[in-house]
Amino acid sequence: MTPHDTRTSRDDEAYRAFDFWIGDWTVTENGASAGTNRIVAELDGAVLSETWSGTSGVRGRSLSFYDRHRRRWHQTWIDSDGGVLHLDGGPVGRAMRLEGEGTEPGTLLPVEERITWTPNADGTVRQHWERKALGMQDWTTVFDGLYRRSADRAAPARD
Amino acid sequence: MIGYFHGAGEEALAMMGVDPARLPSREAWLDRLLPDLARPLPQKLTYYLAWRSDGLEVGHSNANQIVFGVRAHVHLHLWIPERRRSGLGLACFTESIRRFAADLELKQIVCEPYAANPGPNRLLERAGFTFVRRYRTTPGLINFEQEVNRWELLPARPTARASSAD
Repeated sequence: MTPHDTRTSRDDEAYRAFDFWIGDWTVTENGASAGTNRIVAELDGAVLSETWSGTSGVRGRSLSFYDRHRRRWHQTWIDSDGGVLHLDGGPVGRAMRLEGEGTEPGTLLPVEERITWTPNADGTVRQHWERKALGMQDWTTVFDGLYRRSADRAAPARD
Repeated sequence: MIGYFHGAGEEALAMMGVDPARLPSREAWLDRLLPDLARPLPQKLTYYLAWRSDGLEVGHSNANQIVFGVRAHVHLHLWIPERRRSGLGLACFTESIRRFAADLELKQIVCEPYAANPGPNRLLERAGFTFVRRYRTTPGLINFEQEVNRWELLPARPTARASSAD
């Protein structure tokens, strides 16, 4: 397989592992509004495009895709404050877990980042972002959001 | 600053919302912060100001999560308990805020102290910050999960009512 392989991704199951995240969502954390998020499948389903608008005013975009050459999912995130994440991973059961390394803004220590998206039986999705110092045991929660489908928009289908 | 955290007792750390087991070693912390001190202002990730009174270092304030020209989160620490409730913290913090706003060209300054610690919450109100909301979070690597109060200041507004300092 080469980077120029033009086989469609539409029917490849590996590309569909994150489909549960597609849609228009309102997001809360501990019951309080955290923002809205829109996840759209583009390029014949080869990539998921995220558009985040946080209640705090921070806006963010990400691209998530299955890299068939590495057989891993990848996400690159950038926000309006200059925050960047490069995450790799894949399905864990029904959930999607992506991990990477970064810098903690308070201490500037290098940290491991881990975000797990879990589809719930009621149609909601939990997005749990955790962080820990390199070499440490305990993860601390950075963000624990609950996604509910927005009532005012139908969920966008894959193109 | 690092010595202050490492020298503080468990009770003092608890009032700051800090878990002593999560403090990084002095060496590891210093290794990360020292290079940032040399960075030019627009590239700084953190900005530390020491507070001196009568020739003694009595506290510090720092900014992080800096978006130059836009926003930063700030923190304040008066190291000597006997100097609290004297107006010194408000005076030092007000001057720190003025410096942060000018040097980092901030349009918004955010401070999110531990909600259970009345000292900084009271000081922020006196410094002209506006209370936004209370929520539960783990503020950083060195903290335990806690309720914090979010306070915001738009620096174009007056930054202090210094005459009301206690």
